[in-house]
Amino acid sequence: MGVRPAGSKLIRRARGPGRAARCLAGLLAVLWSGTASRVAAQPFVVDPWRFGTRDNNSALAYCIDARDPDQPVARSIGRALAEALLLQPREYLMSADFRTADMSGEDMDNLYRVLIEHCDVVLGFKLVANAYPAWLTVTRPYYRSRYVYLTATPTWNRLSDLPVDAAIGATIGTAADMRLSQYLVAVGPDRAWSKYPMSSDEAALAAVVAGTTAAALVWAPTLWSLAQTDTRIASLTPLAPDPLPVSFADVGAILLTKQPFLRANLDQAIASLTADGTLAAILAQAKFPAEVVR
Amino acid sequence: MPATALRFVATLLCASALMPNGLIPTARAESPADIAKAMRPVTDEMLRNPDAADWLMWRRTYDGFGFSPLKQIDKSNVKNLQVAWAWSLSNGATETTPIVHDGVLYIWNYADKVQALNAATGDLIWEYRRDLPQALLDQAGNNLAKRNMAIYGSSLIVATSDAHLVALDAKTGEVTWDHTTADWRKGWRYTSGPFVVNGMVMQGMTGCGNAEPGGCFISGHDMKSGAEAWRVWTIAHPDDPNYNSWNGVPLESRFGASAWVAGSYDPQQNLVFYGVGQPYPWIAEMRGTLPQKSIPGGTSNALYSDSTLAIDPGTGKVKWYHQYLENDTWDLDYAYEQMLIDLPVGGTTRKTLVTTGKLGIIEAIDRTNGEWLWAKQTVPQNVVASIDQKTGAKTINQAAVPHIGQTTLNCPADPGGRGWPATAYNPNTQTLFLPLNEFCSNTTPTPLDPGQSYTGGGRAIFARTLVPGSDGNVGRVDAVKLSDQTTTWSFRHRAPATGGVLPTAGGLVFAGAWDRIFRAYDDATGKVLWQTKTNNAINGFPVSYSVGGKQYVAVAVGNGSSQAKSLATLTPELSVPDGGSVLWVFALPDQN
Repeated sequence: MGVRPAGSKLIRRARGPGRAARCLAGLLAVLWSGTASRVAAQPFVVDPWRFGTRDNNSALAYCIDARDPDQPVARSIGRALAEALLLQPREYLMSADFRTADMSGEDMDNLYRVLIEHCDVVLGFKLVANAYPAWLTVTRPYYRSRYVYLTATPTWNRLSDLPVDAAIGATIGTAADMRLSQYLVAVGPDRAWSKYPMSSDEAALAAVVAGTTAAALVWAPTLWSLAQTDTRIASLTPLAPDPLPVSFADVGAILLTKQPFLRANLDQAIASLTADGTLAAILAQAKFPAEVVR
Repeated sequence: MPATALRFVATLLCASALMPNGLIPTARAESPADIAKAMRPVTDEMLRNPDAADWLMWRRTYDGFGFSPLKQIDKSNVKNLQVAWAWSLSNGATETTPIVHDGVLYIWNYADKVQALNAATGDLIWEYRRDLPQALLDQAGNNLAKRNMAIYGSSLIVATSDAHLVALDAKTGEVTWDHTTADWRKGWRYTSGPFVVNGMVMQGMTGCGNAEPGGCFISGHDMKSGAEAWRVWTIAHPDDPNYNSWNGVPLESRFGASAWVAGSYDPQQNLVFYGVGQPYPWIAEMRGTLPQKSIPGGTSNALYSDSTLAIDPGTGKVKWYHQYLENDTWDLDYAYEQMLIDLPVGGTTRKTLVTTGKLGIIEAIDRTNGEWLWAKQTVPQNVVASIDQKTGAKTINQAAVPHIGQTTLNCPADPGGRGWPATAYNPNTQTLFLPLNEFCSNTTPTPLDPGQSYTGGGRAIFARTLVPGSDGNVGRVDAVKLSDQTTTWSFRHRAPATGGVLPTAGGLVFAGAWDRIFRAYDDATGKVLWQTKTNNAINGFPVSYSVGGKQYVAVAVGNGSSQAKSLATLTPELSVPDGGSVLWVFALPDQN
């Protein structure tokens, strides 16, 4: 992999600032870290989880959510990040029972526990503005993917081909779902399609395959994952989204806000892996429907 | 016989002669197990007319009053109230209600531990610990808390965090039966407990958003086995005459409508009343019920969310319903206690059902047919612009309706002007007491993390704030005389009100808050007659009972439910400890 030269920049002792300057920078980092942890709202977790961290030694521990459709890609990216930081990769697969969808509630508190107990970062979080508690932060994105409309009617090419009485099954609460909802409100209830809120991408795809809906609006990585094993899903026809624009989402990793040093290094690692083509190669090798973010 | 021994025997004989009934104090007190064994089976008659000493169900009586007829502790002596005993509970959200019968107190602990205690001393009689799946324990949070249990015959019936109903032998804690109601892995969960009428165990399901379409349900179960006898869906299904109330959205896309708390029961009509919560997702534009389409005969009311359901407990047949808030888009449940009160309305006595939703609006309907009667607002709110005084139909302030891409101010917000901490009613004074909170939210619908299953109501950022012009007080306790709907008094305080209220025949009202303070108010004036600071947030339902002629007041405290924590964001200077869930029991000092 072509990661070594770029990654090594992160740990190479660069010329320039002397020992005193580095010491000052370190002090500032510590002070900043302390300030951030005081300012940040704390999760509601019990004391044993609030204090104490794992002894990581020389490893980058990254968590992957078993429910995420991009598992193989996330795994490669996790390894690449560790390698770029000259750390040993240590992967932890979060159980499918772990819930992270309720972004404002206790599920986010559970992430704190996972970050204390199992990993430095959790991969696969979307950069949603103002959606995370102050004690969590998101790295710069390592890929950008999109939401796609699909239909079982091959004669339709674009969303505007759908008759006005058609129903679109949209996974609830995604950025694309919200954009579609805004459009339907703007057009008026009886001059546009119906939108059926679907509990998951899987449910939205199942509905369009079954003919319950005319189209599905789902996250492209989910389609990529399911189409590998389900020929009915693989045979669905993608629709151009017009009159709506394409909806994208940037994907990165979350970590504790009180770890700005790690955050800075991860951001640099992602930048380096983007610049040297490592991330693009991972995405291309998996034929994953995403692109790097420059 | 040695002289000392003779003196001892003589002393005993003399003492015996002096003791009432000839009883000699025993050196060894009655064992805790003996107390449980002596417990009488709980009959239907006991549930209909409970002994004043007992607290046999969530709100004590079938009418849902939450009132204790005990009056040993009264306005004149409450100042002497002191700790009788305390019992540490498992750490975690502690929303529990003790059950007390024949001197035995049953208490639910966080994460499904049930204990039977000597109600006079706090000594352990037996304990049941459920072996919960590790993944469920890892999720932690509010789902591992329960608000109540039920007792019937010789069984204590509990709803577990892994969506089972379990009957325990009330004398030993042994499992009598264990019935699986639903798969917890799919998001089904219980946050309250059962309600028993004529041998039918009824239980409301909650959650119902995690990829499980079709909404929640209330189920009826055979008391002897737990087998399900009937199920009432809280969202209209295709065979329901109100199916066409979801703006054309099919069943597969309907979520929510949790039955968050236990019901009440009218023996005269043989009807059980349950409240139903909000539809999911909270934001109507996201769930497809806004904008409203022109569908012949259709509405976007999202039935039976935010409604009262009148159910035949024998068959599960819904006799009637009344919806208080159509197409709720704020998470403003009308899901809480349903009080059955006979009240003067328009010059005649009506059989009313009184309930108060998160809006803090007290509403009365006719419990024989669901006809709306009257409403009274309590906390500041800007969601309902007006209420039709004949039908109860609400005109919504459109400026308070959340829209995608906008931030709107709504008062109150998701934790509610009142939440699950229950109101209570003193029938002697016809007064309703309410734990209330004043606040607003700047609400911004926001996308969730794509690729994840949908699990709940949220999907918006709720930036909670004090009401405009607030003096900084958030919590309060109100007394409202229901016969004329006048507010008798209102006691306001900084800390959010996070516990249920308990009126007693002693002329007192007990209530607690996030700041750990548990107070006794004069029920006529609202004057604080006694207060104590406990170790943690008052976040349970206080109860009162008596043993051996001595009255006790019990309340569980803990680090807070999700509702309490949401309110606590308004008062960041008030902290509570992470651990330290405790059952506090208070009583007057013994005269000797």
